[in-house]
Amino acid sequence: MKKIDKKELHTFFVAPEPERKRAFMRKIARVKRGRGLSFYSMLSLQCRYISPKVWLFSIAFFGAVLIANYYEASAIWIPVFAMVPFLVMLSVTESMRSYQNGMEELEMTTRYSLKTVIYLRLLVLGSGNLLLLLLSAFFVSDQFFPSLLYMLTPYFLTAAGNLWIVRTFAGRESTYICLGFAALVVIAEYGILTRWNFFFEERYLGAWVIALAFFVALSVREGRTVIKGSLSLA
Amino acid sequence: MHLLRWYAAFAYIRNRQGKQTIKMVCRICLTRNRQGKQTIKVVHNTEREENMELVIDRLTKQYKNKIAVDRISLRFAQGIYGLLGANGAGKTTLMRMLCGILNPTSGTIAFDGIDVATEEYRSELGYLPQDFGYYPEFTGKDFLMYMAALKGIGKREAARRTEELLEIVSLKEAAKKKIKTYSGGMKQRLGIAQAIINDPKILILDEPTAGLDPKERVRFRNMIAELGKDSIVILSTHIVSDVEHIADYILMMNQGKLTFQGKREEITDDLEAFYLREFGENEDVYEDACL
Repeated sequence: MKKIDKKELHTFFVAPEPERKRAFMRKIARVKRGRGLSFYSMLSLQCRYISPKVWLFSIAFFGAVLIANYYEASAIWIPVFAMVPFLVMLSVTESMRSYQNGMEELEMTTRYSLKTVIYLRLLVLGSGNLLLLLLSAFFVSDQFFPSLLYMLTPYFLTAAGNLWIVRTFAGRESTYICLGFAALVVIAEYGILTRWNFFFEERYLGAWVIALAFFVALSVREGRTVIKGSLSLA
Repeated sequence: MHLLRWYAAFAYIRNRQGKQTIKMVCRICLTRNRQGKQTIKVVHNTEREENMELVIDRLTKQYKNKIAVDRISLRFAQGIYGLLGANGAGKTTLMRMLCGILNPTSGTIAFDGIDVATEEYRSELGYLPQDFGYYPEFTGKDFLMYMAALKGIGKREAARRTEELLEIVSLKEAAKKKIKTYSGGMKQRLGIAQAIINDPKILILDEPTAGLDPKERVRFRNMIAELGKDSIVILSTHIVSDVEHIADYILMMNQGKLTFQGKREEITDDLEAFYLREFGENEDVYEDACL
């Protein structure tokens, strides 16, 4: 058989024109994409896109707790407790910023839809805040459980109120209304701390536990309603 | 053309149910043409794309005392569908239901048997709403990367697609600038880019040329014409010239009802004249609604 020159091989056949190349390449890309992103990838994605101001406020709060603990001055604890409602207000408004920035329609139509985005944001920020309050309770006083109770109760009260506000009022106005609600909670806290501080006596611990359980249940209910409502516009 | 022999190329893939299967991807055919010359022809196995179908069955959306979409039934196959209608005709309501972001009062929507309210449906969807916002700290590139991640695209592919799309929509120079500095036309082009970043099988565009200058409109039409070869593209507009040259099928809506549906080639007249005539013939609907 005649030896074929390798260079002549390319003259033997005409290079085929690609047919439906785009559809074919799309199929390969789809197979690769089929697995999607893992839960932890989505979680880290949402962490990356959370505003720095939220993290900075959390750091500032913990810093204030440490300073108050160092100086052991009871007057410093009042502003520290006052920061708790604003901590949760920032977290709730951050979780719902898709609505505030008009991104909800786009995010509802993606594979990992708005429901997933809000759920992950609430999870990240909620867990972070609870961990922060748990740590802070060690520094507030020698009595860990009552300290935690006195911080968690206004926390969940503000959370329930803010979650109701963000699902009732659309757009950026909801941020200001949440701010107003957080301020009201701070005023109530201040009133209790300065005028009715007998509520911090041991005999009222049961009442605090009941109040906390009520606000936690309310927050969970509002949270679920918010997440369910993010499935569609109406 | 005489087929001499053919070879099949197989791929080991995972199907929708997560089961690993072997599938024939393409055939490599060795043929001899009339002149006796041997040629190689690659035939891709894309029956799935050929059979794709979006089915709407008696879709209705009713608000308190207004029917925004009234019992519309349609079947969409591959191609470009121009949805025309005046303001308030129900186009946006229909588009939103097709995207699954508005629950219909009654009726069903399914793509190849996949219901609209599923992750699988959304993974095949690209949507450009009439108005959309953005996170203020985002640059154009950040926005596309974020949307790509939400659409399940891995980081490396997202970066590649983002670069590619920024080039296509002429936003490469402005990629690292914040979106709040963009003009209306630039934002619209960014919106178009995010809609196609996942190479969707269903592309829904609501008033996509709003804010685009004539040159950008022509470029957009060419892009859509290309996409329509392998996808279902539904383009809603009240600007007839947007669809005149690229739509394969024309749909017209008025007062929530579908007043016309047919192939573009069936309309021998100027499309705008036809649209105005269709709209004029249905003025009775307006009078009846007002009484």
